[in-house]
Amino acid sequence: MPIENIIFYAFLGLTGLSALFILLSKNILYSAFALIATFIGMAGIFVLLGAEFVAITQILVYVGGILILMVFGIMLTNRLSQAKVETEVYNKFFGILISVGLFYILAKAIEMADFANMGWMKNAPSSPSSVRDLGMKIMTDYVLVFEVIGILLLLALIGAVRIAGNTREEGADAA
Amino acid sequence: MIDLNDIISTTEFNPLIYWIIALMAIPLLSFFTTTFLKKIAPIWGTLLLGVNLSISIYLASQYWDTTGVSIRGNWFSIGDTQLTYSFLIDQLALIMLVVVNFISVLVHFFSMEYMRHDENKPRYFGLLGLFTFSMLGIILFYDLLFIFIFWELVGLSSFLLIGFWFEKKSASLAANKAFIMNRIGDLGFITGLMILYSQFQTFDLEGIKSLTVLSSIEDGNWVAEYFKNGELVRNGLDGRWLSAAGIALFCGAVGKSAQFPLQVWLPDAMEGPTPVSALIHAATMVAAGVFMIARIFVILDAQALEVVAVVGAITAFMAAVAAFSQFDIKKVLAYSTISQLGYMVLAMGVGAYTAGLFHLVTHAMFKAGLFLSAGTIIHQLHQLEDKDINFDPQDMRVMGGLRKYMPVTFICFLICALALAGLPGFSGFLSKDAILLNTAVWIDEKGGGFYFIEVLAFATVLITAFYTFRMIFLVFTGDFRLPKLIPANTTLKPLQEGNIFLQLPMILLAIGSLSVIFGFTMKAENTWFYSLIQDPIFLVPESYAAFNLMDLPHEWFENLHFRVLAISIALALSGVVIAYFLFRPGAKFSASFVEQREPIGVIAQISFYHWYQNALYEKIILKFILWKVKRIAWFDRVILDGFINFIAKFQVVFAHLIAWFDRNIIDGFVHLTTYTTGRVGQLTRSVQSGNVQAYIMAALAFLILMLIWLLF
Amino acid sequence: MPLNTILLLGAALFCVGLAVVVTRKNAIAVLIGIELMLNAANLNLVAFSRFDAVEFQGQIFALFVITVAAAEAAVALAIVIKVYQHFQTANLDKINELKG
Repeated sequence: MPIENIIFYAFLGLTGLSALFILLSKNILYSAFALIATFIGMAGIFVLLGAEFVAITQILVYVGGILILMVFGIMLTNRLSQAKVETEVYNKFFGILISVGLFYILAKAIEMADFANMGWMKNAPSSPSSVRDLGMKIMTDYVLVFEVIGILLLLALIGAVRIAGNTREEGADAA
Repeated sequence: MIDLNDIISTTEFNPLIYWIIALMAIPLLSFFTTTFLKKIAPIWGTLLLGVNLSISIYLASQYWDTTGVSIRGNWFSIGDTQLTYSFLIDQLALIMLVVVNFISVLVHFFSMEYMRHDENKPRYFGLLGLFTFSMLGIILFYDLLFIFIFWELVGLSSFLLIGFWFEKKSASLAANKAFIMNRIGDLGFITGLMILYSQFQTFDLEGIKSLTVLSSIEDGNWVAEYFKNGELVRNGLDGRWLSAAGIALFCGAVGKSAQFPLQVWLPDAMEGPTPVSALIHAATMVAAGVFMIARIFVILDAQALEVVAVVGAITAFMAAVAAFSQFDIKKVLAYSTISQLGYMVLAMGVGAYTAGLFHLVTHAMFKAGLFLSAGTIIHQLHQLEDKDINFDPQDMRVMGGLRKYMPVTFICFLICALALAGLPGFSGFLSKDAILLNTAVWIDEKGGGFYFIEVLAFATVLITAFYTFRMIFLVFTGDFRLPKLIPANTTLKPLQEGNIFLQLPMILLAIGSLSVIFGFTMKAENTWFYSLIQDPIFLVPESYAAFNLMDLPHEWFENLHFRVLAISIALALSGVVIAYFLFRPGAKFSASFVEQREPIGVIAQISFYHWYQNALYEKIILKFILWKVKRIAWFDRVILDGFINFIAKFQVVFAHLIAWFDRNIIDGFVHLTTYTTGRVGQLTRSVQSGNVQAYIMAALAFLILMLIWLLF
Repeated sequence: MPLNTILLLGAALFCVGLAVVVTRKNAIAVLIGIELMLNAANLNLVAFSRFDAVEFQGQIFALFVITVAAAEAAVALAIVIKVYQHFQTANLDKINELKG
């Protein structure tokens, strides 16, 4: 087994196991940290799939941004005096049933699709992509989407600040 | 062939109708208004009746010479059946109008004094008005249905007036008795109406007469043929129905005119005020039966007339016998009235139409006069009563020698009594003589067993004179007996003559009882009454018709007349003489009279108890009816009520069943519906938990199901 | 690196994320689940992009998803904080104003 495969399955295992931990753990803080592990595993898989930029972005955005937000969120919505930041669990049976059912159907669909024998899959170029090419693409073909997504992000951030802002101030302004 | 519609067609407008309406409306107005007029009710009622009398006299003077004016109009129609009303103003109606109104006015006038102290005066005068209205209806209408209606109204007012002092048990019982006896007679009247209507399909007397004269007897059947609404009607009845119709109608007269066997109500009717007795139970209402026979006279056949004659003779004799031992002055007059009515009916029966009506008129005068005189005596005696002195002011045992105290009353009473006894110079003589003569002629023609009628009629003359003068001797001669009968330590107020209110009517009626009023003659045929009213010709088919007295040779009457005259005067005088010997002051009978509780001797007992007719009715008929009523009551209670109760119980059970079904099945169904709806609502509501995750699960579950369906 | 294995991993991650979303009461935990599900989608996109070296459609789409996810997370957390201030809880079973 080539070293590449071993690394792949290692990341795969990391991703899957940490995801399972999220599912099984009741502690939100632990879940958040397990999510980091999942993201890191996935970033590894992305690198192996030749998408280095996406992997970097993944780590930057998720680990560096979203997860910090999450932790802040946890802190703001739970009393710090509490020993454990735990969440209650309900809908266990139906939740698991639906998830397993959906996974079964998805797995069945993947199996039935038989991607390996598809034409475009066979004729796919084997050369790995480069970050340079990706950058070129973003700045040329996808520049409009890129700009729009930037504006969206800006708006979302402003909106988030506006929503979470102090209500009393708002009430005073209104008055 | 005659058309019924032509006979009973509406007549042209005649202003006379206004007078007729006025005649009937004025007494009715009196009836409706006197109740509201407390103090002036007597004067008001008397005035109204005075107006009515004036109208009657005016009409009489206007239509005296005409043969009769008839007014007819449509009353209402049901389908093809047309009911008409009709009036006939002929001499008979005019005479009756004047007589009734005259006596009514006098009675009103008399009552102003007689009822002065009665607090129910307004009701009394109102009822007199109602009576006069009803009586005038009988006289004016010429339609059997209307005559029947007013006949009943007369019965009603009689009932109300007899029971005027209804606080007295005897008065209310007497009123009931009068009403019931009248109803029995009216049953016959209705039967007669039905027979005539089924044959002729009209109640109009003109129509009935016109069709009767055209009807014929074919093979023992009474057949009437006529056109009605353009169609030929041919009604055939067994010939006996013709007699039956007459006898049935006569039954009505038997009730109203107090004929045997229904006459027992009239003596009891004396419970009413005396002026009422004078007006209703002597002069007018009881004469209405005779008047009604006169109206239907021409359609009576020989057999019916025989029944009428026999009943009249029996009544005249029985009542005369009953009169001669009574103590109560009003009872004597009541039996006397029945007896005289018997004479009138007898006259009708023997075909002496005019004589009967003549006696009706003369009797109305002298009997009203007698009653009003008796009323004066009773009224004046009543004044003597106070809390210590109690006696019956109608009892002749307390009277005696009143001639000295009440001379005017005595003279009036005497004149009227002479008329009643039928002595020459007084009106009763003329009319009674005419009846006796006609009876004698009829019996000569008829022969056979009918002689007993003549015997009864002449015997009645003797008895009438006897009881009349017995009354006069007992009341007016000798000494006043009352002071001896009262407790020793009390003193009587002096007995006085009645005042002008009481005297004037008496005097007028006494004058009306003189024969010179009707003509200066000894023979009834020579009076103006006979020249106005002639015996009519019978209209029934010839084989059924009675022979007409007018068709008999004139010599027959001439031969009989002197004999009848002589015999009747002789009998009347002997009655007076017997009365004188028995009841003159100081006579044996007169002396023991006061001590008698009831008459002594078999004949006197039979007389006093009126042939025990009341007892007979009570013992046999009443018992039988009570027995039958009890059986019927048992049937009612056990069978009918049982059946009805069973139905009711069944209904209740059935209702319970339905209620159970309603409650459990129907309500259950409704509840099920609402419950289901509610549960479905709850179910769908429960899905809307507000929990977003549940929504997600549901959406995903459906997504999975869809994918399963798509993929597999 | 067989494609099917990666796709199965993506499917598994998606299902785990779904289970987390459905079963957790805490709003932050639910957000974590949502992030998992978004990443599962990204994994698929990047995996297919491996066979499309010229156009990079998958990768670019994955980048956009990451961006939108970031925006989503920011807004969502803002809302959660606001909800917490209003209801004094972040438990979704208590926040059932929509209950019928």
